[in-house]
Amino acid sequence: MNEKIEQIIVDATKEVFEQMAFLEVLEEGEFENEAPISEDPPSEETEDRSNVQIQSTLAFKGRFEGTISVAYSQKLARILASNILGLDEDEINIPEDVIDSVREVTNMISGGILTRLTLQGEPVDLSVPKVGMVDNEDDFVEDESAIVIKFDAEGERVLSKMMCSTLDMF
Amino acid sequence: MPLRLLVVDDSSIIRRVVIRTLKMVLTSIGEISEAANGVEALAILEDTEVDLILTDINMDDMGGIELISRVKADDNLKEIPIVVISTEGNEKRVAQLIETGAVGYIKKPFTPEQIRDTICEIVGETNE
Repeated sequence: MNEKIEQIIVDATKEVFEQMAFLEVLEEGEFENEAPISEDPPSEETEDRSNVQIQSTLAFKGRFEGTISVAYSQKLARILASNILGLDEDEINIPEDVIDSVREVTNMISGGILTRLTLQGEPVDLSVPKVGMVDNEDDFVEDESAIVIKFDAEGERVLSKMMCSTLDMF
Repeated sequence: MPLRLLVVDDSSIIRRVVIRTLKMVLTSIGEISEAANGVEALAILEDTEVDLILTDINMDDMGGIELISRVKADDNLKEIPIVVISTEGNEKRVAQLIETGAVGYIKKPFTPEQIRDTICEIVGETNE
């Protein structure tokens, strides 16, 4: 897969989580005690690891077009919202603050990715990120037009995905 | 004199974060108004005195670029400095925003120090 884009996705995701939500994010390979990614039903050891439940997707269009998606568990989404707002979890408005935080995190990660990929001054239109509930990682599968990076934050899974039919142009 | 601010962003989360950060890093803050887009911002500016505008770019109804143009075209408002806070970050794009009339740019995600340094440079305030 395109290592340049992979690194850009990693850098943009980490930048947002660390600067706005004060959360350390580790790439899958950086986990100290990595739980194996498995197609099998969760074993007892991994059963308490939350699966992704909230997904936010933004579309971009310019010289190239595609989508950027970020997904995590509801638990992590609440942590994100409370950290970004500087409030305790019981002080945030659910679901409004959580949805808005998820949307804005995707917006900022996308901006970070596209700023690094586009030429100076090159215009790119971004849609307003859409937020929805999911119950699996089926949307986050790599292929020739999609790059997926898996992270861990606070023991919870984070998935960042960029889909573009012309990935090979970078 | 306390600084009167207008924060324009379609994300209530970002507005709250910016306002919280401004209160942390600036020594003298007056009234802070909020708007979700350029239309709301112009409505506020009709009857509210503001010393500094912080605005996003991509917003529904009226985005930041049009807001900047409208403010700069209004004799009553054109002296108000405008800082852009946006996810867009390349140098040429920032230069374009400055040409339109912005006096500063802060890229999201931002640190409190970045907010402080940009605002203080514009308003000439220190945070001792």
